Amino acid sequence: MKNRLRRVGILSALAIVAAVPAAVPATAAAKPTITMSGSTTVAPLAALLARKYLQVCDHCVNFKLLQGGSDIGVADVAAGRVTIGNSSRDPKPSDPGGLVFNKIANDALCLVSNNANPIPGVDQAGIQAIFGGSVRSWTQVPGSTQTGTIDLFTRTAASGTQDAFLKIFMGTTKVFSGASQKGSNGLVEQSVASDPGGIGYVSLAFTKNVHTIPYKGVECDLRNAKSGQYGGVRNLYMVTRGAPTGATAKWINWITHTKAASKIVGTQWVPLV
Amino acid sequence: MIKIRTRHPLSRARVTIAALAAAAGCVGVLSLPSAAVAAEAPLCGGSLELNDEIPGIEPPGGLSYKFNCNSTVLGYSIISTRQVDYFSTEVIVLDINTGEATNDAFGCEGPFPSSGFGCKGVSPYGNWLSGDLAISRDPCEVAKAKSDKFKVWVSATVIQFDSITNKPFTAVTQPFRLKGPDCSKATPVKASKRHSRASA
Repeated sequence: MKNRLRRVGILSALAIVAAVPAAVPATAAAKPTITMSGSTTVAPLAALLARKYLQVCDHCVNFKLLQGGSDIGVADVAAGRVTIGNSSRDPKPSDPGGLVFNKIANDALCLVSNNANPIPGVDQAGIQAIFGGSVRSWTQVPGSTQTGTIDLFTRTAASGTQDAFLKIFMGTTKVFSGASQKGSNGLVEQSVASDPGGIGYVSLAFTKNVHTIPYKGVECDLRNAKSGQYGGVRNLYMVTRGAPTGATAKWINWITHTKAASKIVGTQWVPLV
Repeated sequence: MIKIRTRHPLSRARVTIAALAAAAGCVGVLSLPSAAVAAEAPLCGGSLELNDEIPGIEPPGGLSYKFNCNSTVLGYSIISTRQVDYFSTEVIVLDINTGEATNDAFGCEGPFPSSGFGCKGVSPYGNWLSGDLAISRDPCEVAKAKSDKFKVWVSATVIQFDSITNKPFTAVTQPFRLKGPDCSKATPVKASKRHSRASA
């Protein structure tokens, strides 16, 4: 009798365990998950916005945030691997068809040097000479405190920041082939911060440990980016396959149309409203 | 009538730690040679501090974490008993001797809200990793039960060397708990704000 009771008990417990996985999909389906991949510039903004959105909508969705660079985000969303591809570059003719670039904010792209080498300013010709490789020594750069070789830090080809830099600052000039390519804003910031002969470009949110170089006499800061005085401002997007719908549409609409979102965007980026 | 009394042998926190540590370390475990013998077990240690100054994060809930290991770190997972709803997507690496930023960084990814997140990069022996996270509750809120006590662990994927062949291999550390946060350091104003928010 005792053994029989034990057997019934075990069978009942197994039945409960077997029933649990069947209940999980129903719960998960009730709360949609928004997956995002791509731009390392958009990632920190998306993380901050998602936290606030979860509070505002009473945890109506789940988020999953991945990185990889703008081109990865665009490719992922086009292939249906994620809900949103984060991009810090404008659409390209080579992008897959059917994508919608939903603009969510603007961002200042800052030129940065080491804190021990506070370059007082640079114009477009100067940037093209330095990053194009025709000027290789700091002695040729007015205002530099360094005398050695210029160490260039650029971004990898998948980067939207790289694309925006070429478009805004470089024109038709190609970047010097000897430049060191980095995979994220943070790595460029770290590289320049630890190299007195270093120079690079990053999103304004990644300038804490480096000197920001004024461009055409205008400081790269939030105030000048918001007023439109700073010339190195680019667009940030959340890219969707077709027009956003459902939970994704609500999320993007909240980012672009509410004061709560604008307040967060305005801490380090330029809000649309 | 048969009454079935079931009691789960593991607490939820332990199960979460085990699951996340296993997930974080699967790459390292798969690449472990069967005969590999580490010269010594990888050791890591670190701390957690209240941080009400994270731009865009309304206090309370903001925290900064910092840890290092006695070997090169290739990745790590943060695991929390209270729901994580924000993490810094890029984590800086600080030099062990000078405390200054090196040219290494980690990129972090994961779901939120969740029990944690994962980061990948490279940090040479002993250098400090320093990042931010935020939880949905006040870290200093008194725990409602023992299992509700706020604790954070890190499990890291590190490079070890076989003591016989001296060949490198990847290994995963045991989850180690980050010390803190020290709630007595919260300023009186912030502490009252915490209390009112927690009781609201």
